[in-house]
Amino acid sequence: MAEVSEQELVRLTRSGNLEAYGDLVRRHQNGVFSACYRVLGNREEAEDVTQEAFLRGYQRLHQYDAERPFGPWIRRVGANLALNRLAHNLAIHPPALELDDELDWPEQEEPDPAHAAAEQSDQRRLLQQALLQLPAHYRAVIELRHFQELSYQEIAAALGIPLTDVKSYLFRARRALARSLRDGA
Amino acid sequence: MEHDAVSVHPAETELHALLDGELNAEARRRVEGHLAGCAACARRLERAQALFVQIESLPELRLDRDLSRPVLQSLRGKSRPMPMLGLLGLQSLAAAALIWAASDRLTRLLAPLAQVDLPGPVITGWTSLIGVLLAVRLPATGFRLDSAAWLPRLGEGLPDLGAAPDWILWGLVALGAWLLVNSLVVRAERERRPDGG
Repeated sequence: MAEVSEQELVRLTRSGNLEAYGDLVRRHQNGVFSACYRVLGNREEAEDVTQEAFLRGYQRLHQYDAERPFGPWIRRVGANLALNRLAHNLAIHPPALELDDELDWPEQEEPDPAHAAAEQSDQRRLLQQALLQLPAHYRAVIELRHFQELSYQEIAAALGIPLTDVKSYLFRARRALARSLRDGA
Repeated sequence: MEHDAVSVHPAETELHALLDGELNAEARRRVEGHLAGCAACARRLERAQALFVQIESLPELRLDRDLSRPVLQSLRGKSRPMPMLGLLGLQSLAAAALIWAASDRLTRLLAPLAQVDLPGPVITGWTSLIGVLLAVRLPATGFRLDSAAWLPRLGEGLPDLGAAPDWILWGLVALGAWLLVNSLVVRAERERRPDGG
C-alpha cells in the first residue's frame, strides 16, 4: 500500500483524525528529538520536550502552511521549546575567554580514500559526541545555525544575546568540534 | 590601498561569515579577492566548509520508543472533557429544550394513556411524568398536580405550540431525540477508543 503523504496526514489531522497525527509523530520524532537533544544535551529532557513539541504542534496546526514540508516546521517547534527549557534551566553567560580566532585552529589531514568509509563513520560518532558535550550556549548556536538555518541576527533574537556573541559562540563551537575531530583521528 | 586590503589574510570568523552568507557586499568582495590569490586561505576556507558539511550531515539521533502513543493519549485526555462542556453538552441541551418545548402537546396527546390499566408502579411513574410535564409546560391552564407544585413556572413567555400542526410537534421531538442519541453515541465512541491508538 502506498504511503500516505504528509499533506494528506495533516489534512486528516485537521479534520479530527488523531491516528493521522500519530503517523506524523512516528515519522518525525527522531528529527525533533535530535534538535531537542542537541540543544539540551540531556536525553530524558530531550524526550520530554519532544513529546511537548508534538502536543504544541497539534494545538498550532492551524498556523502550519501545508504547502511546506512538515519536518522543518515541527523541528523548529521542538528547538524553540528546547531553547525555552534551556533558558529556564540555566542563564546563558558568555565565556570570559578572549576571542582568539587566529590561534590554534586545527589543521585537518586529507582523508585516506582506502579508509574513507570507516573514518567517516568514526568521525560522525566523534562529532556527535563532541557536539553533545559542548557548553549549552555553543550547542544552541550550532543547532540554530546549522540545523534550523537561522541567520546570525535571528539567532541573536532567539537567544536574546548580542550579535557579537553569536559570532563568537559559533566560532568557538566550530573550533571545538574541529579539535575533537583532529584529536580523535 | 586596495592591494593592501586584499593582501591581509581574512580572520577565521570572516571565512565562517562568508560561508554563512553573513558578509556584507564590500567585505565579501575583499575576502573573495584575497582568496583568489592566496592558496593558504583557500585551503582554510575548504577546511571550514568541510566541517560545516560534516556537522550538517550528522545523522538523526534515534529515539528508542514510539512517542505517538503518549502524545495521542495526552491529546485524547485533553479532549475528553469536551463532550460535557462542548458540542455534546450543547447538543444535549438543545435536545432537552426541543422536547420540553413540545411537551405541551405531548402531554395532551399522551394523557389518555394514563387511563390504561397498568401495574401500580408503572401508573405511578407515568402519572408523575405527565404531572411534571403539565406543571412545567402548562402553567397558564391552571391545571397543576399538587405533587409537582414545587416546580417553577418555566413555560411562561415561550412560544405556544398548542396550535401547531402535529408534524411540527413530532419533528421537534424527533430532532430532539436524534440529538440526544447522537450525543450519547459519539460520547460512547470516544470512551471506547483505546488510549494508545
